Amino acid sequence: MAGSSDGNDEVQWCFSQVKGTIDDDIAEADIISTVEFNHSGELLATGDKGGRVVIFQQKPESKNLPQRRGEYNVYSTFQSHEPEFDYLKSLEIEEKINKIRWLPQKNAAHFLLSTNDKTIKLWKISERDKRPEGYNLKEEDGRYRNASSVTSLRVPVFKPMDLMVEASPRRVFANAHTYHINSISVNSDCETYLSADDLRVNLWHWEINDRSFNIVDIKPDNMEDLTEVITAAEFHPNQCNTFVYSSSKGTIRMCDMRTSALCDNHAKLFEEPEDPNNRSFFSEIISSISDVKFSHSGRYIMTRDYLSVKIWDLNMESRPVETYQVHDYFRSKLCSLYENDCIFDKFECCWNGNDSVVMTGSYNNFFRMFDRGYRQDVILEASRDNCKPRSVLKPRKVSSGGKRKKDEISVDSLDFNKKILHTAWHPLDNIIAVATTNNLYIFQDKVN
Amino acid sequence: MPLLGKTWSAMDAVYTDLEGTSAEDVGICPLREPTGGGVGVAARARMESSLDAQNLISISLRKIQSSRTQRGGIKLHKNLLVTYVLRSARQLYVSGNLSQTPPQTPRPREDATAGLSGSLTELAHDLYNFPGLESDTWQHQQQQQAPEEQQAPPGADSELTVPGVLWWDSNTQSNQKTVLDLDTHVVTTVTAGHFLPDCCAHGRGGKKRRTDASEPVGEPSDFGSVPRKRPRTEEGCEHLDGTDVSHLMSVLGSSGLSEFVSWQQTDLEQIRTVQSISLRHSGLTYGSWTRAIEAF
Repeated sequence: MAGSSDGNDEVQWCFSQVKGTIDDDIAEADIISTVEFNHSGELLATGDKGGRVVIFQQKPESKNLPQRRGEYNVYSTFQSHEPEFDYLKSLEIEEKINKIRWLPQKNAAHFLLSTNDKTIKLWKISERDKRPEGYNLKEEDGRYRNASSVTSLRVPVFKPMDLMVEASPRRVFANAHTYHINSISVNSDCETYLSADDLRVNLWHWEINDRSFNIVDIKPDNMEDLTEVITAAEFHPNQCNTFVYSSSKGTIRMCDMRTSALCDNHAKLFEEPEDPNNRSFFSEIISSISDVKFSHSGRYIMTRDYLSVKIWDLNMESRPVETYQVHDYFRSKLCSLYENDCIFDKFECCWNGNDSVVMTGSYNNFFRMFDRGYRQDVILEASRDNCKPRSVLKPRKVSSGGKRKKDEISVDSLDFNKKILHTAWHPLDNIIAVATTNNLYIFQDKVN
Repeated sequence: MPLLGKTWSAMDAVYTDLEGTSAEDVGICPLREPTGGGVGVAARARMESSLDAQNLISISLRKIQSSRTQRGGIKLHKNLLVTYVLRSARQLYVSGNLSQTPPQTPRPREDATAGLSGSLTELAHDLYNFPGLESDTWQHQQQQQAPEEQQAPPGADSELTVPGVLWWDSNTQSNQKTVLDLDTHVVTTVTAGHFLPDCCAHGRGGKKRRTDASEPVGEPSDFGSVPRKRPRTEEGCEHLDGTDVSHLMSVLGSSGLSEFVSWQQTDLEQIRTVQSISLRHSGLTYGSWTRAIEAF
């Protein structure tokens, strides 16, 4: 499995760390809802259903062991969103963090955007390792001194202190979305970002929180004519005028903001004709795209629907250039999956640093990697059973029917409560973060 | 949570083409009749697929109902997808029903796109309080339904005489309605207040199916412990919910799929009042409300 290093060597993935509790009784607030590396890979942010953001920082590599990558430790934890109640519509607004996106770093501080269903917030995460001492009018504990007791003047000086990481909300972008926000994406112009809900896409400036521009609106005049919703949106990594959004019908539209203010008319429409042999009650559901990601190069788009991952070339709209079946053995089980709601699970997908490998999650805490160059794929499992440090993950196999071979797992034995919806790949290295329900697993390639 | 033991591949295969297919093609009902019994096999296959469609309809409507009470409000995306399934199942059910009804029975005018166009007007209105929502229209319809429900023939199964909500085929001129009872998971067709004979037979079959499908597998367990705190307008609903009480869900305007009606706009006290009147008149003594969903 090629990584960002020499593509000829097959990558072996090893367990590195696991974050989270071991309890079988999972608190709903602890369910991880998003995972994202920052642009350097030094920081790893997670959001959960309880509205909290936890940021992990990679320790610098040890001088004694230069080939072993640093571990990720908790850097900052803060409550990003709180549950709210819309009294006008009598609706409760969940605090669940739907997405986190890092802004490019410009100075010592880090900035990220986090969003729930309705509100986006810009957070500044900064370090404080010095504090001023020697105030004239304040005591060391902060109490104000009696002005009449001040007889001399001194200049306060900065003294070192224990490192403190502060997270402060710098902007709150609210009241711009009627429907549930599903995506945010930072533009390469380092000034704007987009947010998308079921029917609209809005364009924001980082500095301006009291207005946004609506750039896509697919809400029909008569809601009875509604046939599809927006499921994900993302800016092109290099072209600040281009973005894509996916729909529940399995289509991807690419829009160019230079053509008009309102990008309802797409520049390109990526759509694959449906195979009539696979038509079923649930065709619409399984064709709905749950995630869309540009490759780092900007040449390709990856989409995830319920059963497969597809790679699209921006220059060809008629069909994907590559299709990978994630868990096709569930195709005959769709009705059961519909009944237990699993068919509505929204899996994400991600690229590795050099766009040679893609990764996505599945059930039973399985996740899959597809090597585009070598046409290889592997199923791995995030499990507490494989938690020995630097233990190599053994590929898993699923038996879809007939005689089950040794070490194979039957489809009917797969646990649908254990699902990996969120994964992230370090932008520069072979380090991956895989979120199970309430645990975050970090794996890295085996360094010889 | 292991997969359910039941395999649904047969039902999925049925969707593609019901007319003119043999049971073997469909993949269900593997029993082979003696020579001359081919028609019976096909009919049995159609009935099985019709029952499967009923089950799917029941599951779908339960999902829609439960989505109204989940945290965060109604999910437009999920409900849109559910309506697609509902439409397909309904098409299958209606076509299966048509092939089983006796010729003299007035047939509903079938429209593949009737009602279930996939639109979610009322859902969106529910959720987002759009202007122009005609809750008055709905209340008027509900009051009109109550007398109709009282006119159910005395010979009909007592459990089927309080359908609650009706599923209108908006494009038919006849007073034909498809009714779902969530307690028995029976989908029946009512014409001008009278149940069709075949539907009564289905009803009895449906009762048997209830024990198989009554496990709340469709319950949104993902949402965990939903807080008891609910929006103000849904307080009446809590009173409806008791241990034996099922939710009344009404909707359906004459404009088709328009929704699961303004859940937010509904005057639940009025619903209860109307329903209690109809129940008293029908002489029901069992202490539970009939759970029904009126859909498009």
